[in-house]
Amino acid sequence: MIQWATWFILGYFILLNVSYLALNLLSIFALQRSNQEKLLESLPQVFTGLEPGISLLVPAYNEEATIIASVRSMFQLTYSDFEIVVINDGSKDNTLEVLKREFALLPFPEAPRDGLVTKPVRGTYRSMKYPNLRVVDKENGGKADSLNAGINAARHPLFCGVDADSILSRDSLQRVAKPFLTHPDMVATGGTVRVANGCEVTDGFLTKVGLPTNIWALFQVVEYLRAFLFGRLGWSKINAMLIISGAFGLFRTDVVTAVGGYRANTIGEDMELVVRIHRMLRQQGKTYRIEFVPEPVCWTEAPEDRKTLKNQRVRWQRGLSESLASNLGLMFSRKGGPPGWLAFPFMLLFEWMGPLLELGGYLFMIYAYAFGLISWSAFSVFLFMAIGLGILLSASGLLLEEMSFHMYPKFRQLAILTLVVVLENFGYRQLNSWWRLVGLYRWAMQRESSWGEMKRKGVGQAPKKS
Amino acid sequence: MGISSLGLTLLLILAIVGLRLRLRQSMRQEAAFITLWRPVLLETISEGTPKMPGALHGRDELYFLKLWNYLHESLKGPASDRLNALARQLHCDKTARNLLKKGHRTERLLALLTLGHLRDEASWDELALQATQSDGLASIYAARALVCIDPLKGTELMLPLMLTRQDWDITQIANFLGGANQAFWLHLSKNILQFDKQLWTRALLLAEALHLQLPLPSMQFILIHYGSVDTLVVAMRMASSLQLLPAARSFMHHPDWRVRVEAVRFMGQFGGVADLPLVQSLLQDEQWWVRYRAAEALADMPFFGIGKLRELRSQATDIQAMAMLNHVLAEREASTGSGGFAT
Repeated sequence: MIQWATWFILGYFILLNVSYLALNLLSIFALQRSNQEKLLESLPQVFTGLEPGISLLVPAYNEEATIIASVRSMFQLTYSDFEIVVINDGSKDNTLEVLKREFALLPFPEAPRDGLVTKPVRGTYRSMKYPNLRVVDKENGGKADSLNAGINAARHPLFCGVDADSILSRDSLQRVAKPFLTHPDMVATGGTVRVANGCEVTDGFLTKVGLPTNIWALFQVVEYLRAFLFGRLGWSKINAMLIISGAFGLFRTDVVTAVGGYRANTIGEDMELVVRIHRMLRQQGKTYRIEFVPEPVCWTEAPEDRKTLKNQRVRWQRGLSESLASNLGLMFSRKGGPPGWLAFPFMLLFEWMGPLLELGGYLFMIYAYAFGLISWSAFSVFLFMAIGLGILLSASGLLLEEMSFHMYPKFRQLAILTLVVVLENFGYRQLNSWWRLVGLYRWAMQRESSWGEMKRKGVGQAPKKS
Repeated sequence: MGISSLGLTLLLILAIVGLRLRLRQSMRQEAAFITLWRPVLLETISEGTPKMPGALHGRDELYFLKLWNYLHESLKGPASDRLNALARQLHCDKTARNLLKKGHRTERLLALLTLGHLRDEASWDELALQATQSDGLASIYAARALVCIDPLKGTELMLPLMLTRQDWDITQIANFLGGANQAFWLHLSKNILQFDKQLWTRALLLAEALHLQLPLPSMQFILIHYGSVDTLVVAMRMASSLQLLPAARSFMHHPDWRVRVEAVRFMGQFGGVADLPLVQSLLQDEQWWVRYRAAEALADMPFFGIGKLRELRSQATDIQAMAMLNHVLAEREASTGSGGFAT
C-alpha cells in the first residue's frame, strides 16, 4: 500500500512537471518567432480604418478614488476607433458623481437593447466633453453582471473587459487586436498581465518598471512570469487556452452575446466565459481561435499582505472550480479537440485537484520518511520532483522573460528575481497550495459570490510616483 | 537526481546571465553606432552634405539598416531618394540581397524592408518568389517591396495574393497600397468581376480603406451577383450613387440585419419621398442597429429632418420606435450644441 501510494505521488509530480516542461518548449518556440518580428514592431504604425472598433468596458464598484485616473489614461490609448463604457455597478460611494463632474456627463435617453439579462439599468450618461465616453449606471449585480450590461451597451464588434485599476500599455489595444486582422476566425485574445508593485506610474501609465520591496509581491512577480509566459502562451500555441485574465481581454461582442455573456453567479467569470466559448463553439463545429499575446499589455497591483493574497487565491480556486464544473461537457467530448482532450484534463488534474494532491503528497512523504516507511532515495526523488523541478520551471519563466522582453533592466533586479525563483519554492508555493485547498473546500460548500475586496496601495492612482 | 536538478537550474541561470550580457553589449554597440551615424542620416534627409564617419563596418550593417528603414518609413520624394543614394553608396543594396538569400528570419525581414525602400529592381524575381512563401509576415513584406519598386507591375502581380491570403494583415496591405492607390484602382476595377466572388469582400474592403470608388457597372454587378452577405454589406456601405437606389430598396427587408443597416443608411443619403414609408417601417425592426440607422436616415433626409422627426416621435405608438427616435433626437440636438441631451 505504502509503495503504491509513493509511486502514485511520484507519478503525479512527474506528470505535472513533464506537462509544464512541454508547455515551456511550446512557449520558447512561440517567443522565438515573435522576437524575430520585433524589428517590424518598432516601425511607425499607421491606422487604416480597417481595424475593428473596440468597446472598452470598465466595471466600477466603489472606485471613486481611482476611476478618474483610469478613464483618463484610457483616453490616451493608441488605437483608431474605440469607446469607453464605464459601468457603475450600484457603487455605494461617489463613483458616479465624480465621473459626472469630471467628464461633464449628462443623462442620455439611450434606446434600450435586447441582449443579455442584467440587473436593471438606472440610466445612461454621455460625456459632453468626450464623445467616446459613456457611463451605464445600474443596480448592483457583481462584476460579471456589469460586464454583461457593458456588452449590451457596446457599439463595436470587439469589446475589452478592463479592471478599473488596471494600468494599460499605450499600445495594448493595438497589440491584442492584431490577431483579429490575420485570423478571421479569431474570437478572443488575451495579453500578459504583470505586477505593477514597485513600478513608477505617471498619469495612469507605467513610466518605469521596477521590483517591489515587499516579499509577497516579489513572489508574485515570478509567479506571473511563469503563469503567463509559459502557461498561457504554451496553451495558446495549440488553441487550447482556457483562461484570459479578467484584467484585460479582448472578445468578439457577437460571439460572447451568442454564448450568453458572462455568468453572473460565478467568481471566476473570466475563465468560465473562455471555457464556455470553447465548449459551445466546439459543440457547434465552428472553427475559431483564441490567442495569447505575450507582450506585457496590462499591469496590475498585486496584494502585499498575506491575508489579501490568501483571499485572492481562495477566490481564484473557487472560480476555477466553478468554471470547470459548469463546463465538464467539454472534457473528452467528441469535438473537444486540444481544449477538451488536453487543457481541460490538465486543469482538472493539476490546477483543480492539484492542491489536494500536492499537499497530500508532501504530508504523506514526510510522514512515510519520518517513520521509515520509505527510503531516503524515494524521499529525495520526491523532493527533486516537487522542489527541484519547481525551481527549474520558475527559472525557465525568468529565462523566457529575459529572452523576449527584459523588462527588468538592472543586474540587481535580475539577481533578486533569481533569488526569488529559488526561495518561492520553499514555503510560498506550498502556502499557495494550502490557500487553494481552502478555496476548493469553500467551493464545495457553495458559498455565494460577490465583488472581491482587495486592500490596495494604489499603484495606478492619479499622477503620482509610487 | 538532486544534483542534475541543481545543475539544470544553474545552467538556466547562466543562460539568463549570458543573455543579459549579450543584450547589454549589443545595446552599447547600437548606441555608439547611432551616435555616429544618426546625424549622417538626418543630414542626408535635410539636403545637407554629411561628413561620413568612414566605411560601414560589417557588424554595423544591421544597425544601419534598422535606423535607415526606421527613418525611411516616414519619408517620400527627394528625401527618400537621398537616403537611397546614401545606402547604395554604402553598398547596402548588396548587403540586403545577401541577407535575403542567406540571412536568418529577422535579417530576411530587414532585407525585404530595405529592398522595397531602395526600389531595388535587381531583386524583383527573388521578391516575387518570397511573396509566395508560407511565412505570412515575410511574404507580405515581399509583396510590399514589389509594390514599392513598381506600383503598377507590383500591384498587378500581387493583387490575387492580396485577396486570397487571409494570413496577410489587411490593414498592412491597405497601408502599403496607400502609395500605389491609383495602380490598385486600375487593376481592381479592371479585374474584380473576373475574380472569384469569395474574394470580393476583401477587394471591396481594401478599396473602401483607400477611399476608392469602383465603376458603377461593377458595383451594380456585385450587388446583384454577390456571393456572400459580407460582400453585400461592404458593397452597400460603399454605394454612393443614386443609380443604386433600386438595389438598396430591394435590400431593405433583407434577412441579414447588417444588410438592412447599410440599405437604410443609403436611403438617408439618396432616398426620396417615396421611400419614407419603407424607412419608417424599419423603426420597428427587431435589430437595434437597424432602428438606429432608420432614425438617423430620417434625420438625414433633407425633406424630412429634425422637425418632422419630432412630429413622428409624438405620433409614434411603438415603444421601440419611440425610444429610438428619442435617442437620435437627443444625439442630433447635442451635436447642434443645444447644451445638453433632450431626455
